[in-house]
Parts: sequence; C-alpha cells; structure tokens
Amino acid sequence: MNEQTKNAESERDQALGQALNELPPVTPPPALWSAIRTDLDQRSHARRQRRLTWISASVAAAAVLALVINILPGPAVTPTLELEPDTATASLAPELIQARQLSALLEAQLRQNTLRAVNASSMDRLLYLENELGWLDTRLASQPNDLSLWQKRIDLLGEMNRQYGLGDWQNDVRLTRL
Amino acid sequence: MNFSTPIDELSLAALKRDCRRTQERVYRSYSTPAWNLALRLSGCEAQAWDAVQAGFVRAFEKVSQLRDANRFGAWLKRIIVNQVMDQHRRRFEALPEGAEDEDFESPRHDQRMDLERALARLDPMDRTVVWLHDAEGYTHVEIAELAGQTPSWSKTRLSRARARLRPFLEPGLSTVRTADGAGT
Repeated sequence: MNEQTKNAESERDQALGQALNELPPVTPPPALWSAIRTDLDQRSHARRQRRLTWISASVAAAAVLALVINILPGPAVTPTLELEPDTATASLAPELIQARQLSALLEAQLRQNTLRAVNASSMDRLLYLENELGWLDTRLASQPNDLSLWQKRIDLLGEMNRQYGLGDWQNDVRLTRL
Repeated sequence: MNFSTPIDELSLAALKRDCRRTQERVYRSYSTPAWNLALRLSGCEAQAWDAVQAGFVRAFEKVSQLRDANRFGAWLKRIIVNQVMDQHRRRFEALPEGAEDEDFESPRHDQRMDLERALARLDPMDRTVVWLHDAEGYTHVEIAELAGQTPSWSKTRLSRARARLRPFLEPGLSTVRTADGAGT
C-alpha cells in the first residue's frame, strides 16, 4: 500500500468519523423517565422489604435466644456433701466442714443468679440481704469456726438465691434439692 | 448538554439521598446524549431503551461510590456503554458471528440507504466498535477492554465496519444528514 493510498484511506476514515458525529440527534421517548422511576421505586420498595424482613428475623432470633438462655438449666450445681476434707479443715468438726461446703455451694449458685433480671421488690430485698451478708462476713472473719454464723450465712445465701429465682420453678427445684 | 457537562455538588449529594426530583432533573439533562449513544451503539430502539433504563437505574443506585460531581457524565456514559456491551455479549453468545451480515444491503443509486440506516444494519459488535472508535474517540485498547477481547479483535471489527460504511460516503451516494436533518 503506497503513501497516497494510505492518505486517501485516512481521509475517508476521518470523513466517516465526522459523518457519524454529524448524525442528527434523536429525542428520547417521553415515557422513558416513567419506566426508570417505576424501576427505581420497585427496587427501593424491595430494599425496604428486605431490610424489614432482616430486622424482624433479628428480633425473632434475639427473642428465641433469650428464651433458650432462660429455659436452659444453669451450670450443674449438684450438692456434693461428700467432699474430700482437705488438710486445713481436717481438724474441724464435721458439721462445720459441711456448713462451709454448703455455704460455698450456695455462693457459687448466687454468682450465677446475679446475671438474672429481678423485679423491683426483689431488688430491695436483695440489697438488704447483701448488707446482712457483708455484716455476717465481717463477723466470720474474726470467728471462722462459729457454726451458728455459718448457719446464718447459709440461710442468707438461700434467701438471696430464692429472691433471684422468684418465678423460676427450675431454680426452686434446684434450691429444694439443696 | 452532553456527557462532559458536570453536575454540581448539591445535586450529587441529593442523588446520594435517593431524591427522585434530583434524579429526574439529572435524567432530563443527560437523557438525549444517553439515548443517542445507546441508540447508535445498539442500532435498535428497544435495546437502547433497555440500556438507558438499566444505565440510569444503575447510576442512581451506585452514585454513592462517585466522589467527584464533575465525573458524573463520563461515569454515566461508561455505564451505558457497558450496558450495551453486555447486551451484545449476550446476543453474541446466542448468535454465530456474522449471522447478521448476510442481509446487509449495498447502496443502490435508485434507493439510497443513508449512513444511519447502514450503521443500524451493521453487526452489533462492528457497529459498537466503529462508533466508539470513530465517533467517541475510544482507543482499541479501551474498546477491547470493554468487550473482553484483544485490541487486534477491535481493529479487525473496525476495519470491517468501515468497509461497510464507506460506500455510503462516496460522492453522489452519501446521504449523510446534517444536524438539522437535511440531506447533503
């Protein structure tokens, strides 16, 4: 292909580009915007529906989870009264050892129960009982082998667990077993 | 109004809030260049409609990704070109290459077919390549990227399309209309 032919072709290509650019503009159909708006509205509605469904599903899942957490029994706190006496308590009276073990057991139960929601009247009662427990523990610090103090502590802890478990029949059963 | 006309920052912010009135205003601003581009590339009103509708919907839904209001027109143009390219690809997969070439008419002295009709009768990919290259100024690399092909594929398509269109530019045969619609 010689130079002259190349130039002629290049000119024709330029003319074609110019001719294409000079094609008359065409007006878009008047109904096109309506179609776009309808499409946008439908998509927007579908997004809202999806969001609503997602929120409903999340709320339902949270409700089911909360229900399951409430229904499931707490950690197995089986009263094991035949615990091995350790060397530090070997010289103590068996009643005192038993009272201490029961107290520890009820305290563990109480730690689990403090995660639960309580009603207003139980809350007042629990505050009072916690004060009592604090006072009792001060006395036990100076009289650690006083069986009557340990008995009072067991009663207090039992009452606190009962307050936390009001309305929960499973907890009542567990406490009854103690 | 053409694709290089920018929108202002307030309009961009309103578009990001999914404001229908702003969407309509922006649509009215760009609808003519968008429609002409889609029509020239697709060669068919039905396909141009689909491309422009899908293009504007996509642009309005994805506008949160756009940071520079000055780039809106170029961005919209790119989206519409992509929409038409997608149509072609889907059609290309369904039809064997060159299936539409057989009924391509040569220009006749007694029944001239103008450039616009000739363009519309080209193979969709040939038409898209020649329009993007000769009218829009895209490079072969850009066209190849859009079509998922190689630059040499784009060159071959352009060469074929030009060969088909040149007869309509020959002196005495050309019926290329000017912007006011009068034949020359």
